[in-house]
Amino acid sequence: MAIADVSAALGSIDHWIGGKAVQSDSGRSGIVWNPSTGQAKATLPLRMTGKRILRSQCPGRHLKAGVGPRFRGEPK
Amino acid sequence: MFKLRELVDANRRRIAELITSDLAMAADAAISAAYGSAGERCMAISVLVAVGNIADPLVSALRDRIYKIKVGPGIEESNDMGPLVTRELRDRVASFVEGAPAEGASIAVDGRENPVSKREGFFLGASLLDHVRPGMRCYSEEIFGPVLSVVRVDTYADAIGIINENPYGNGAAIFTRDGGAAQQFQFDVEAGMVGVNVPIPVPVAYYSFGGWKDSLFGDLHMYGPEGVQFYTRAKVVTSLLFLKFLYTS
Repeated sequence: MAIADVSAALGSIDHWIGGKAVQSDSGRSGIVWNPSTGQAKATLPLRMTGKRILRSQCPGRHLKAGVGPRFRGEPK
Repeated sequence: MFKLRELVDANRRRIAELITSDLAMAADAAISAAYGSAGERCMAISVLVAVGNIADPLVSALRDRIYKIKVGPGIEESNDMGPLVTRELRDRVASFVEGAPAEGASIAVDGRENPVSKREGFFLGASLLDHVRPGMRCYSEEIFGPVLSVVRVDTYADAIGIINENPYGNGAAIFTRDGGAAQQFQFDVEAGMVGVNVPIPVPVAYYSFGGWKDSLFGDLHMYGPEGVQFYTRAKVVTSLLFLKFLYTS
């Protein structure tokens, strides 16, 4: 079954970040299966870009997305 | 004596060795460690090395237990093992069983013949492969499913050699009633996590988690003190306090 068909028929499960649904910007998705029945249940958008995740969680934090964890506390 | 080994995620492998011990206890441990979560967990066991003449009774004990594993939907409490996560994984896991005889291994229990494998969903019964040797596909590749391979060796040294020659070294365990063998194993084995009569030697969090060799990405393990080290940068202060001056001023 094509992903588009599953999405149209069964809907999509969005990411839930910071208390609200956030849509993926990757353009890619996979099928959520019920492995006990072999039936498709929904589609699941695959990853979002790191900066977008951080932006949705904490405004401004994405600015340090490319900084290693040991150095995020460094003064500019 | 037998050894267990698994490959975890894309690049991690767990190796365990069990030496002449209470056979029933060792078999029970191997069953739960190999087939729990249908073998789909990072520390599941995929290879067991039997040393000496323990192999035949051990395989027999495993076979008896495998036939008692009830496979079905995971939401039903009466089931011991659920389906695999996707159809593709189920077919891939089954391919390891199918290809084993051509490489010289024997199928002691064929999970594909379990009636549950014919029903809707991604079910596959538990499989047991015997006479597996290093280099075979079922030994070298990550199966990540309910397949346990038995490698037979003659001596403890042979078993240690097989473990240590492996490029991966996530974890290892020994099953024994011999305290000396258990202690020697801790020194000999090249793996990041070692168990003694514990088939899945995952330590409590403050000891961290992770393997050696190709079973480790980067240079630090996941959590515990090494996790703190990853997220922090040390600052060393060397100071000399003029206590006399402070007291008299």
